[in-house]
Amino acid sequence: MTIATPAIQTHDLTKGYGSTIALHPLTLDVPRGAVFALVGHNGAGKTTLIKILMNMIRPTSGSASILDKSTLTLTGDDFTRIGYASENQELPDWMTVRQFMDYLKGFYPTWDDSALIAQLELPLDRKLKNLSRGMLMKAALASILAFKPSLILLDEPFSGLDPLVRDELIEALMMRVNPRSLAGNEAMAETPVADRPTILISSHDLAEVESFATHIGFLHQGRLLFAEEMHSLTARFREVTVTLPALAGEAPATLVKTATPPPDTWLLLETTLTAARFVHTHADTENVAAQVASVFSTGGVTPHLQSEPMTLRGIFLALAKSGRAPAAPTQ
Amino acid sequence: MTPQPLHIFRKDILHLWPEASVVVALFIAFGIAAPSNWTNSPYAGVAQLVSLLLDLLMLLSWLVLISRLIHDEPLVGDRQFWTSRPYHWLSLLGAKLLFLVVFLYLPFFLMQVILLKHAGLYPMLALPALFHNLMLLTVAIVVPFAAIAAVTSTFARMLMSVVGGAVYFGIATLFVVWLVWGRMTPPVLDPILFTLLILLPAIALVYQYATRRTTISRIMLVATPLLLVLLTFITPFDALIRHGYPAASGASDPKLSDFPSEFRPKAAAPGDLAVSLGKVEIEVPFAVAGIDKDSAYLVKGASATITAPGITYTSPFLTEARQLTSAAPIAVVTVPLPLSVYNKIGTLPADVHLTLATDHLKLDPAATWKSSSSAPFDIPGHGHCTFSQDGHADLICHYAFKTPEALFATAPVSPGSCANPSAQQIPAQASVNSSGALSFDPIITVPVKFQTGDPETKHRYALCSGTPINFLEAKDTGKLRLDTDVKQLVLPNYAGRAQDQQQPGVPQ
Repeated sequence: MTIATPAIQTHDLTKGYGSTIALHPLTLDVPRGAVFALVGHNGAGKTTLIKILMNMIRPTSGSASILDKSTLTLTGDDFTRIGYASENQELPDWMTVRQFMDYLKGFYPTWDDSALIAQLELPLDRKLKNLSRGMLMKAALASILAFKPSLILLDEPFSGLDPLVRDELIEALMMRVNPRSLAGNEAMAETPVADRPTILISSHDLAEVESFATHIGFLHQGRLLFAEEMHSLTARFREVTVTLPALAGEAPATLVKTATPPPDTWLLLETTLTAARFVHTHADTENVAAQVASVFSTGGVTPHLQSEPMTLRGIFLALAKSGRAPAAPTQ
Repeated sequence: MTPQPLHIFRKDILHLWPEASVVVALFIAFGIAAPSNWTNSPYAGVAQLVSLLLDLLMLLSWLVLISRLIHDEPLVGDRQFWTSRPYHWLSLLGAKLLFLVVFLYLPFFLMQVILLKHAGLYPMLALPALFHNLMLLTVAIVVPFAAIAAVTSTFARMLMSVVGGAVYFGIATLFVVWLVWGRMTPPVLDPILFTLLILLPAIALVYQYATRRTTISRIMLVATPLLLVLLTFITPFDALIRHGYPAASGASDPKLSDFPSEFRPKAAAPGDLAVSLGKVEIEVPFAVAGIDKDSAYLVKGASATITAPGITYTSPFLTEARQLTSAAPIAVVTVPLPLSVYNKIGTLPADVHLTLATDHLKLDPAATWKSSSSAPFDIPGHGHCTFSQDGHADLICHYAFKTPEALFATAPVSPGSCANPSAQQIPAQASVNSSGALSFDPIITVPVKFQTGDPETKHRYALCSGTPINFLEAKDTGKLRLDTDVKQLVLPNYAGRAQDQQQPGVPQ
């Protein structure tokens, strides 16, 4: 049995523009069949990374490969398996939607756009330059999904779209990724993950991708703070609150920090006389109570620990505010 | 599936048919206007203006067409949709080339064929010249325009680059001209420069299509004129000339020798010494022998080593344009000598070792063609002539692109006019020469003026209809280097004078 190599691999990939570093050494694996959400603020380096992966720009150093091929050697044939759409892509706006689809059809042996055109309700006779932003992105997405690529790279595809159009696009995308997933059919498990198309989608809006991404990576100021499976991320991040109970008839106990520093897995530690709060990045594998006991002296009083799951947004805010990458998850 | 070049080509037609139509329409307009330039049309003046305007419009339309064509799949930037699609760069380049062939080269070619036909010339016989013209079109216009379009993203940027590039190239050319001013260029240099001129932009164009590494492609384009200047600067001119012109050694080669002493001037000619750019022109005479009657030697360049007590000066090969024939046993070449060297030598006798680089021309046997005033008549080299309207000894001849390399005509002409057939005719001769260059109009007009040698300019001579005209065509058969020593010259006696119109040392 052979183990499928990742669909996307980068190793110490960097990109600089003069003295400005757009990407710090970046090492990343995106497994086959994953829906990988690359999130980060505007200017975080998401577009730069995707353009390097598409061989639209060359890296300053390091290496990258997609579908087992170095990005530097990607040629025309490779793009019959790779689809790319971007919010700021320059399309041949003099063409009508029909002309655009017919023209692209000539490049792909596996082209089939009839269902997509119907599903996305594309206005075939309208010129691309006269389409709304949402309709233009629908046409761009249709022009990718029509040839059934193995890898789809989408750069901020939902930026500036109204929620309705965004949901339509996500639905169209996910139906092609896994036709039975929306129907909730258990048989979807029969399709090997590695045989499903891999999707890398960048966004600065977490809510856009939270619902369908299987993997997530966070770019911040050109650095990849982490990249991992979504369920692993949400399982290990917890917002922990430590409080000392008020005991009747006794002087209130106080939290006093001991000489032991907080572990690296704690972020944004805030303390008051009787309470502390922090974000734990490995709450699923580490003994939080023991860590609290070693960091704080409570005068013999047993503190109350409350551990709450976090939203993706909360996790990213914590990471962004702390400016730290969490330690790699324990395998 | 349709082959990719054809698929892209079809898309380009769909998008660019208006631009292509303008180009074709301008070709048609030019084809209609051009004949007025060479058919004695009463509207010739207006037609020339229209042709000039059409020249400019055609150039502009080509610029627009090439820009729109290349920029339909821009190579600059990282936002264009096509770079993420299964385009093969060779197919893309091939599609663009195909479009240019169909909408630029083919109409251009057809227009020229139709004009040749209209002028009564023979397109099939002019095929080499037609293709040569297409090559010039490629070198001078298509490749530079396409290369610039490939490294720019919009028409405005391309236009600015073309204008800037033309100025830059003009400055580089002026620099090259300054470097070689007055010097003979080695025969291999021009083909090398010409090849580089087409090759480097073509490489930049192909490289840009293959890699889209715009910065490197731009550097290649900017470097082209610099490379030409550098190459001109470092080329060992004299060594290459000596290599390209082997020394004469055969028994049938002409012999140069010292100038007969009885013809040596005994004193300097009157007038002030003519000094130009710090140099004095010494006119060195020599004797020529051993040239057969069917041959001529064109002196393309000359170098001289002047030796006087304590001084030796060698000039580089400088351009000359003199002809050595059996009819002129004595000849002269001009050697510019720095004033400082001239003053140092003064009146001391100097020895001059003269080296001439010559082209050997061999005359073909004379061919006789009968003239006719009723209709255009053919002449050698696939041209034809008509009598000029003024009744003088002139012909107006037309050729496709260029005349033969060296064509001479002799014919008897009648004094006064052809009205008096009993008047004694006298021989006259004319040269039929014109150089070819890239031209939208393939017809060149060559006025052929027969001259009798009569010094009286008021005398009129007429070439009469039906007169047989002898044509002599000379062909370049090789290159030869000729050497001789001219001893004991007193340089001031041979120096050019400001008020001296005669060539010193040459008997009149």
